Amino acid sequence: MTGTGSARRLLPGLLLLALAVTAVPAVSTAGLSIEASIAPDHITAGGDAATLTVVVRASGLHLPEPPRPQASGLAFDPAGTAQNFSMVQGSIQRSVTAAYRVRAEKPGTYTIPPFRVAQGSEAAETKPLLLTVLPPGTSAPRAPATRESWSGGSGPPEVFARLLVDRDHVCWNQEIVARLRIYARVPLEGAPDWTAPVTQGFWVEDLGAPTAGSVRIGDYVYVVNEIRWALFPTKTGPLTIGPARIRCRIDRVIPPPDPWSSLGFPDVRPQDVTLATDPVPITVQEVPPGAPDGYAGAVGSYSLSVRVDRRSVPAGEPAIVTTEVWGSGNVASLHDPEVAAPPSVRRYVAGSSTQIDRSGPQLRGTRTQQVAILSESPGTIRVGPVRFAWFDPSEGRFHSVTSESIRIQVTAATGAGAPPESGLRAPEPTAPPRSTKGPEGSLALTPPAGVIPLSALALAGYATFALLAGVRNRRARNPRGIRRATLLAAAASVAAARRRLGTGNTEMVTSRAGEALLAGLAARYDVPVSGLARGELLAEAARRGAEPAARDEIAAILEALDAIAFAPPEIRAADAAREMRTAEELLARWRKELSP
Amino acid sequence: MRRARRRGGRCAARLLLGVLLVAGWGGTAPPARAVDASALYNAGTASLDRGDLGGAIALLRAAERLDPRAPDLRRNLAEARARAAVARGAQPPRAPPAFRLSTREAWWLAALLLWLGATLAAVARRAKRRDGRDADSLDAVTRRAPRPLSVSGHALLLAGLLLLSWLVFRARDDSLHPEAVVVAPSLPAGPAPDERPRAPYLLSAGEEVRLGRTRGALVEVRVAGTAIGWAERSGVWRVTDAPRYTVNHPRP
Repeated sequence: MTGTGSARRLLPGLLLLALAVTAVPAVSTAGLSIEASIAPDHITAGGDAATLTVVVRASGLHLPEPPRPQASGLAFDPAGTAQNFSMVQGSIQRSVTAAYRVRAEKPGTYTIPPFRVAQGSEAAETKPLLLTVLPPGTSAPRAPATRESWSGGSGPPEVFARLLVDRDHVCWNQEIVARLRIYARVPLEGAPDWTAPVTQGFWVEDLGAPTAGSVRIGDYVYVVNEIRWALFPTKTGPLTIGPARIRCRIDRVIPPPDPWSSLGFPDVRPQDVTLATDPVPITVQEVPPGAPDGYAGAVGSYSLSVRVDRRSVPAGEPAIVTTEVWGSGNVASLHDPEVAAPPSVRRYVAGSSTQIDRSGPQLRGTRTQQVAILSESPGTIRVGPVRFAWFDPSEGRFHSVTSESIRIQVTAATGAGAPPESGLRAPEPTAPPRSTKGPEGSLALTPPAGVIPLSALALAGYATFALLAGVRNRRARNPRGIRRATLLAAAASVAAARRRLGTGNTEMVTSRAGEALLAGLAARYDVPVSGLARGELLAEAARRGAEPAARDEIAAILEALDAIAFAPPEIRAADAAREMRTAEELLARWRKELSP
Repeated sequence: MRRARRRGGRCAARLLLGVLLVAGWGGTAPPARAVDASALYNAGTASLDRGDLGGAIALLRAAERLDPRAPDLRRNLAEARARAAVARGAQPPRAPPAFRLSTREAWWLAALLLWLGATLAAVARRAKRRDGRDADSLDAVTRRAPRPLSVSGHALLLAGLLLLSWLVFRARDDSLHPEAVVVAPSLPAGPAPDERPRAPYLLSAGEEVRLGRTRGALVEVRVAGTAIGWAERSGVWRVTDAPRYTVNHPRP
């Protein structure tokens, strides 16, 4: 705030005052008062400044100037003035406010003397103010309500800070994520100046760049700036994180005290604010007993991989065994796992590196170590197994992983011309490359075109045949069907016998025709044919329903066929053919009777 | 009678449905580009000569799918496998049988077996019917089909069905878990980042594995039907991808 600016702001007020003087009769000057305040009341020597505000109020047109502060050891820099004018129920009230920035170069307790003003017979006076100046580097103690906050007006704090940790009971070397946050509901000038919390007894790793966001608390929206650290306790017992300090500059808007001030401009004052957080107590316990072999203090969650750059190496050349341990925890302080090798080979660490990922919510990283294994003589080297153990605090127990042992074949030195060791296989010469094209096709194991239709056709054809055969078989297994089939076969036998009549063996042909007729009779009336004589068969057929006429007809045919065997040869064939046709017709009639 | 008829109808319907499914599966297979076995063989032999055992086995395994009985290919593949086994301290594997069919030949053989078996079985049934018609004795109607013909036909049909089923299973398995060869000198197959930590398996160049699911730059490695861990995808070559690494298909 400059003097030119103040004059520019005073000009509208003076014009209004002139109008009031011409319109309003003169009133007496009464009600003179003066107020003085300083905030904060603790500053550091050579550092931030306190703000001293002096307000003089009076009734009437005449207003004395606020007195300029003076105190030994303190420097007062004018920060601006403002005048206000109001008229209430015919009484004119004026006030003038003067602000100063107060700094001190030496620590100590300073007293700012009372401010006095006088006008006419009236006088007013303030109480003396105390300002404590602390040595540089120390944080100012604050009242409990405002230790982590600063408020220049009414309502909740305009700016406050918090130091948060994700856990306060940990084991040794377990990760603690500490978050330092500043909440502001007034504009900040520039980025806050973070001072990391005091972390004696911790291994500290940054966790990414500061971040910003917003949060609503009550009726106010606060802008939240946050910075994170990963802390790993390096000793056990009670430890303390913090306090942390934040220095920032806020733009403070001073509202006009009365409606008349709307004729002027709002006063925006930059103000330096230093915030300090409460210290956070942490209890650190020892890692529980029972650590497995190979445990070297790792705490967190890890994985191990082991690989070798080649499995076969000439004598005198190194094979590089690489171990990688990755996971979340204090990766930078990890001890590399031991890569054991026989004493007859040389082993040395060829390199190691640590990669840390700070972008996530926790510290993650990879610890890599390269170990060169070198043997001067051919043979087989067995390296490892490599073992790595750690304590997982989330599960409260130890873990360990053990890799497979690695076998490295050491061959004879290149160019030495030495024969391979016994037990080692000498490479055989390979077949030469081809100069002609070979068979072409697809590497996929899917069927070539044409196979599926052919297979489907074959299976469908077989299925059709099987289906039809099944139907036929079922039909043949029907008892009635079997009887009909027997009748059909008997008729076929009689017909076949009839066709053979001219061949000369008439006795045998007529005999077979008779047998076929009897078989048909047995089928027609469901008589078991085996072991029965002709008469018994006819009697059984009669008992099972054969009519007398049919029985007589059969008997007549059978007798005729018997008689033909003894007839003269010239009449045998004609008679036999006639009788056989009669037998065929009879069999056909029976078959028809059995039809469904 | 009626129940038997219904059962027969169901069996026939299932058989036809199976046939249609197999046919449908074959019809939906993506058309694959033909590759030359000699090109794969030459690339594999060149890799073997320069000591790249993983690449050599991958390329020669691909060539073997097309030309499995070629003596030079079998010799170089056996040599590559032997060298890889010796490099990792294992015994050289035994040579595969001399007579092997390519995948294409096996598919056609299955189809021909099915066709021949179905034809013989049908002929046997026809012969039975004819015998029944021409029978001049009572037992002709109950005579079965000619036994040698029927047995041969059904044996061929069964062999064709078994071979076809095995080929379908193998093709499906290869599409889900393709054959691959480790090409990195050493490849750790360990747990995925979000899995419980455990000791990784250390694979060597030339080891033949199968692949499973993929997750970013990692692929699941399977040995003998069991997933053993996750490894970097760049450390393994699928056999079907081998043509990419020949002269005509430069590596991307």
